[in-house]
Amino acid sequence: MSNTGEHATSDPSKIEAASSSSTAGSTYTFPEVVRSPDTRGHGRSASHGSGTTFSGGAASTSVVGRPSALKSTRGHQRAFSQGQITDSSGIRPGHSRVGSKTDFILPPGHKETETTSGSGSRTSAKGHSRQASRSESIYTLRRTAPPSFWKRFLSFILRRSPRYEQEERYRIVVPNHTVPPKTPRKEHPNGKRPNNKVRTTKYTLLSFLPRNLLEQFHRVANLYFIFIVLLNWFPAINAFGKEIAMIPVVFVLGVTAVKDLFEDRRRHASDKRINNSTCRIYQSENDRYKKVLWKEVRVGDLIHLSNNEVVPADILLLRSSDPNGLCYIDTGHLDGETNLKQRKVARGFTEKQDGFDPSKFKSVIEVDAPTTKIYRFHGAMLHPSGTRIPVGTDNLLLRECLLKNTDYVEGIVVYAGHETKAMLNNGGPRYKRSSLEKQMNQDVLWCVLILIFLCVIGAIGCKLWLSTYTNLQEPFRPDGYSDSSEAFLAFWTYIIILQIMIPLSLYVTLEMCKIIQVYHIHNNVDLYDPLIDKRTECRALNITEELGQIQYIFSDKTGTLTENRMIFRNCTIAGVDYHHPTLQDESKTKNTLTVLCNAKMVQDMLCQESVTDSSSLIHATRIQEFLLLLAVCNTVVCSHHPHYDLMNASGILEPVPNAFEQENKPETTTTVSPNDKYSRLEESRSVTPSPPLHTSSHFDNRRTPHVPSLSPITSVDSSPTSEAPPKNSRPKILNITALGFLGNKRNMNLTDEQKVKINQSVTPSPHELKPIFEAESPDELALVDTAYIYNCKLLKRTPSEVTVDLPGAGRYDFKILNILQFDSVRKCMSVIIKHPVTKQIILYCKGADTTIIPALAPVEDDSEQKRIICQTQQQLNAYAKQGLRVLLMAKRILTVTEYNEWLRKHKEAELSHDNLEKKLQESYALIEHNLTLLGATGIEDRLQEGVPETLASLISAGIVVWVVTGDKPETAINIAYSAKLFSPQMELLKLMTRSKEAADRTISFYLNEIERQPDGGDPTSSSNLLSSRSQPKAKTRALVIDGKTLTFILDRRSNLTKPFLKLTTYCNSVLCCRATPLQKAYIVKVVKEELKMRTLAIGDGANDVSMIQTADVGIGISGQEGMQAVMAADFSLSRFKYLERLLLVHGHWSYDRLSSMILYFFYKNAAFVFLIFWYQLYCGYSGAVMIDQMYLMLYNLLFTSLPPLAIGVYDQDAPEYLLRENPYLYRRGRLGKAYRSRSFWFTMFDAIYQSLAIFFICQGIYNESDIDIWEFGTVVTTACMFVMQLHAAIETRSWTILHIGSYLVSIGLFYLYSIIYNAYCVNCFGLPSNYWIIQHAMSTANYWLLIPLSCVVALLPRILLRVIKTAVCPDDVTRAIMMHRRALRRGEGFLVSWSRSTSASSIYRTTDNRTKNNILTAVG
Amino acid sequence: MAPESADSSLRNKKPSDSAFKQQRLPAWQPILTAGTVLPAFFVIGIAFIPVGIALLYFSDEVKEKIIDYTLCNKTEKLYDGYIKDMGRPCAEIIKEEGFDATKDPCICHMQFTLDTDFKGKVYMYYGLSNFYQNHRRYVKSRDDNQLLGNLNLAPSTDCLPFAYAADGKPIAPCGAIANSLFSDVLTINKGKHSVPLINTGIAWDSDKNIKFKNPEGDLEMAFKNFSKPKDWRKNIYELDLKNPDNNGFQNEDLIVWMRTAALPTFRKIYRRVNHTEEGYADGLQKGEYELVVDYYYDVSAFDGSKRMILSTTSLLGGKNPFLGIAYIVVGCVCLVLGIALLFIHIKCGKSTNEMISVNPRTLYH
Repeated sequence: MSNTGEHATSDPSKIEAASSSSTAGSTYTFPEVVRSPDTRGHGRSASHGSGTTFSGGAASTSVVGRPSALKSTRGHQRAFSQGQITDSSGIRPGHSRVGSKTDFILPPGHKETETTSGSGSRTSAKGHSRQASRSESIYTLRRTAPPSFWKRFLSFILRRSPRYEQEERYRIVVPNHTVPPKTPRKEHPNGKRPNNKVRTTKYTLLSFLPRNLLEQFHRVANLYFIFIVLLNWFPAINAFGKEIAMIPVVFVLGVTAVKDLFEDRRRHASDKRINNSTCRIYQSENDRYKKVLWKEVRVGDLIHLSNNEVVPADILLLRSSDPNGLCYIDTGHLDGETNLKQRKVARGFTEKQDGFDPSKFKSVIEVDAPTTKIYRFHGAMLHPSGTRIPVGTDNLLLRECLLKNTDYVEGIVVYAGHETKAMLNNGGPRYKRSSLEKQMNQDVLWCVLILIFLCVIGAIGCKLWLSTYTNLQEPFRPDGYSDSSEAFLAFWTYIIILQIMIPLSLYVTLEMCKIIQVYHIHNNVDLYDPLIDKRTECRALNITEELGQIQYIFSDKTGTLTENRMIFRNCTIAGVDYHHPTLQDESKTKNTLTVLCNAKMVQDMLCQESVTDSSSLIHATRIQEFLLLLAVCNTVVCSHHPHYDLMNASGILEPVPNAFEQENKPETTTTVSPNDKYSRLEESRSVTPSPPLHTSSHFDNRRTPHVPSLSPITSVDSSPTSEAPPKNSRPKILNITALGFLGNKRNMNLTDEQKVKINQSVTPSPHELKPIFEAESPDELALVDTAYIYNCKLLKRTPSEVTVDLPGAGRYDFKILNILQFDSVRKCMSVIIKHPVTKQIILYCKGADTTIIPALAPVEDDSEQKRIICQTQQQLNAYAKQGLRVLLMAKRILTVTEYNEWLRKHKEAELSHDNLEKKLQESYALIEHNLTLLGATGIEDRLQEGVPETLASLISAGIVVWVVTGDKPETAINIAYSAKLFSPQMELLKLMTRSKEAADRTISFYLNEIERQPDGGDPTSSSNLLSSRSQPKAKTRALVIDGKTLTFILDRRSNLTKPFLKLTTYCNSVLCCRATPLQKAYIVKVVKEELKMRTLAIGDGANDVSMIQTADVGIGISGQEGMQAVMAADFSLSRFKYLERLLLVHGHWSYDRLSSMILYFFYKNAAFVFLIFWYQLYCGYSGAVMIDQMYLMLYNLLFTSLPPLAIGVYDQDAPEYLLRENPYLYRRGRLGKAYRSRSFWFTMFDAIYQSLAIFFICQGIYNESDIDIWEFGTVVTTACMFVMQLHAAIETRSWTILHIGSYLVSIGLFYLYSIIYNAYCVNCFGLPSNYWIIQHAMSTANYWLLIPLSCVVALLPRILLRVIKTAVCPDDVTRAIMMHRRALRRGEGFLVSWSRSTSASSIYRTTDNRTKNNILTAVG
Repeated sequence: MAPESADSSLRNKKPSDSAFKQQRLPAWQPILTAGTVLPAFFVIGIAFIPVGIALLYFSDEVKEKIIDYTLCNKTEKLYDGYIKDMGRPCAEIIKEEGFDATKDPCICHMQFTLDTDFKGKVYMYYGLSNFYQNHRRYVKSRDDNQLLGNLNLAPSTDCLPFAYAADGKPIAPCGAIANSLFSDVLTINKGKHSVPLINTGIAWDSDKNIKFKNPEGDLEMAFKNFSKPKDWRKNIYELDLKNPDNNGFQNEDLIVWMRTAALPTFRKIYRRVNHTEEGYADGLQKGEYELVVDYYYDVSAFDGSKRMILSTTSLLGGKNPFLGIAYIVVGCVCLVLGIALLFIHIKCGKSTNEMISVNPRTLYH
């Protein structure tokens, strides 16, 4: 076992470049969905041959199992962790999680490499710059989790630090099975290491109270109140009973603590779920792997993992099912990159793959102390023989990664639990503040100023009062105090008695409101997606109102607007268009990728059999060649069976079913040797949570043995009819596929007879099983699948050979001479193959029309080829109009000399060091010309259901929608058209430049152009987006910009940002193509900061994570792309269309409700405070409070807490249907109309007026009477209570039982409390006795007469203003409601309902120009 | 909010479609337009004005006689009933050094006339103005526990500096409020006879029975370790020697005083006329009366004033036209506003109609 052979398989290209420890900032990135293999490795944004990196490049000829389909990590230029914000405290209020200070965008060319990191990491100099820019990792802004408070405390107490740390520089990991079982933990060599149990909860049972209090005291507001409580303990100042004064603070702290406890329990539950996941570890007693819980895994354990399992701890790889010792992991949960990364078995174990025996593994491993750096790991393996083998990052599997494309791996745990890189990088929860809250905080500051002002007035009054009376005695003028010092003390007394001016409870109420709002959003049945059984999740609990104020939306395209399912829709071969219709029941079988064959194409293709006419024969050959190209010219890898492990979940090896084994033996790269002691496992082996239905069905459909949609008319091929679904052979794997199979309506092309044939068919031979294609992009997959359907079957691909089963010709092994990787400049890719029969060297090329057309061989004007080109171009235009992604296919037959000549030059170019990229491109260009056009394909990237309608709604709500995508411009523009983001009337401005100067010139050119036009909009009005009206005839523009240009624009030094933003304000929509994840984030950031807009980012993939986190509101689509986006987001939706409801209805409501709630809160506290203040005029400015302290303290907590909640949660300024019918109503929130700074002052004046009214009515009534101070206070409080409830009633727009209940309950509570309190409390709490006061007051007539009077007087102005406003200039919402009612009255219900079209066909409805799009874009 | 449980995957996550959860509770959405608010204004106006008139009427029914005696001159009653004005106001005399209230009290005799009969129950009040009984330090300066009869040798610290006498004994009742107990003695004579006044039944029953309690046993014994408040002339157990129920803490004058007034100008009930006596059954008849004031109480510190008030009561308590006037004014305002709104409604209602019947889309582009 102790092989010490220095087998240097180390491939430098796979070593991660500079380390980057970015990670998704969410608490848990534990995958809840196992990603299906077909999403794996898709360059998400990549259209066919688009941005995805075909990394293998030249390397593909050199190495290993599945070289090219998987992105190797070479050439990743990551900027490393300096770029991150580390923020140790998660609780500080107002702390924006968004890293404004980080300069986290780097131009793509920017290389920052960590060369100092030593042996393991080396930057590959070969990085293509484009590739580099793509993979420049997503710098999710990380916050290091602070070491546990408890731990710190403990270590402080136990004083165990330096020695421990010293020793920690290196640590030795000993395989546990070498240690005798039952060794006590202390003596165990790995005993010091933590086990794999994780705890992300902030508190433990013991630490909860002290720690929570400590955290709460970080809040300024809480400190303020603690200060006031303390102030109250000064005898000279004290105004209140010392204990009573603490009630509000204790209450607030208590509520917050309960909330924290609740949240912590949720974390606890998730910890528990994770800790109780299972995996298999080796147990020496039984000499087999056994299923254990994650939390029981310890450092030194040997672990066995199957495909798609989540790695439970950081594991050093010792064995892989792959003969080359490779395995692939998806680090998406860790750093957000969805591409697969290669890891390999530690050196020396590669050849031992088959014979690896865990029990014989005796080596000791020396590793670094744990660090947060994800891609940095050094260590060495010390074999018993004394040899020392270094191990590095590429041998390490990190916790939370997903094992992909590998049957199984085995390895030894080196870090567990909290020492794993994933946990070390696990950030705390995010804290966002909505702009409403910011504005509110500003007004709270005003409240502070008002408070201080009142206190100063009071203090001055106190001094003046004292100085008017010269011979005052005790107690009015206490001995030993001068007037001034008395005034000074009075100031502090005032601070105490007027403290509720600053609404502490507002924060609590606000949070409660938002939590209940979130509850309702979460429970909204209209936001529930029955297809994947998912509700809308609100991950951020405190920015619901921000949803109502969004001004800019940044949307990802693929997977967000579109479904990211490529459907082969059209192809044109030699000028003949073949359309592939949509399956009729597609809606039901959403996840099948199968398309129906075009019968005509089949006929055309097969006509060679019934040869009659030479032209049709030629055509048939062309079709075949076309299909061959589809099958060959790609980087798709096929394997013939799903990755499976022979070990089941409990670690038991299952026997291999014979048929299966034989099938695989000759073919598969992963050979299952018969004498292998492992046997087949069941599908249920996986420990990962079972994937949601849609994923799994998707997942399994891919594995479905090929179900032909085509049945050849004349059977020339031996196999097709036997290609029935071999249900019997692999039942366990196929258990879901039956669905897909049934859903696949094949009867269109099948006669009954044929059906019978299929049913009779026997177990197919191995070759007829459809291989599992693993492609970079869904486009490629669609192409290969299509070829397969036409019986042009890609069966096997190795770096040097590709095996294709051609219809009517049987299997051919084409030798691959070269693969010319895709790059974005060329926009095409090619393969050069050698035909096995004709020995021809053929170059097949597919690419964008802009690339291929110029590269075509010159043709004569009247030749057939010319005709083909013309026809093809016409068809291409038609495709583009339909929003299809278009690819052209071409070929070139090379002579041997031509090829050899080129090859020589190419090799030279490859070897050159400087300008490699350019030289390679030149070299490619040399061979990719003189092409012959074969045909073109049109692939539909289907829009998600309801996208155009949603976009139209959002746009007419006045929200500016930018689509930011990594996709190429052509595709993106197509989608923009079909999504109705662009309309044909729009003028398209394109910003695609290759240099800074050019960008500058273009921008200023456009700007000049626009400004010259009279109706070009007026930039001074802070963009025409904000002005409420726009000229109807103004030409609308759309801007398209690409990533390269963005690089120049976003570069701070270029000073182009401002002109660019200015330009964008003239445009109704902006489309950013080819944007890297970081650029996405930076665009959002620029708009947010420079234009001061509230932004929302929506996306579904890992590449959107940074954008999502940068935006004010981040929304993740919980689609097929995994959970990263969702984890990083504040809200998660399952479909884009829900965004409309979320923003226009829930957002609008939330904003409106909270605005009125906050204003009401300010009002009620201010009015109460002013009541007390007016009293000072009558009590010698002494700081006396006529209101009993219990009322004072309970006022906010009990008596007036319900109406704000009712308003804040359940008030509706307009019903839902109205808001959706009239998206422009969103303007209210977008422009922040419900809560402005002047509304605060208006509220304040109203509060002053109302308090004046109440107080002076009471004063007038009771002046010179024998009323005592407490009864007076009680009367004033009662009047105030009634006025406030009525005020709330006026503010209520929509009365429900809840509102009425809240008012009645408030009044009821007040009376109940005061009656009980006054009846039983003769001498309580050391307060002045209020015995029998309310009872006495209620027995007087004055009391009852005063209440209606003060209510009417206090509320008259407000109601009057309201009425006048409604009469003279009603706001949008009121207007809409009135209009609606009028319409209803007239029976014109139709006026207000506009039909919502169904989306299924929307992509084809380009002609349907509802002008909605343009009209309302500029509605302010 | 997400209820996440391990078996949630089994259950359908579809939220329940209840009206509450979906925020579709039946709702009433009033719009405050002139039309809808109009009736309310008229109703308020129409309701308030009669109420105001009634209140004013009741207030007018109350008869009140106020005599400000702050600056009354010291008088001496001679043998034949002739009253001699000594020419110096008592307010000054009592502040003089050497003034001894027990030997030579300052007494004012003041004549006054009731112009009308005071029918019904007549109460006698003393009124103080500019006396800040509601001052924070003053209000606080009492010991309710002590007043409940729980005598403790250490009175509440709230009482400081009126908690201990100069000799170190605790004061009962302690505190500034008790210390400043109104100490003028007011009597009224009609002709040669004094008007019968009762000094009980003037405090709230709840106070008399529950909030104020004498210590058990003999009062004098109970208070032997306590000192009287600095400004008092009598001990707490000597407040009403005739009526043990009205003595000590349960003395109603003390109780009334201890109920600190809300505003610096206030009145407190002092006596009630004994209507069982002959000649007073229907109240006070009109005619000449004489107010005799034993002037002890100093209000000069605040430039205050003292009044004696004789008043009948109505349903609504004392004489106060404010409420009635306020009601009438508010009622009128509401009516006027209602008419104005009606005008707006008729005049502008149409234009509003036109305005809002425009399709919002046409409006906004």
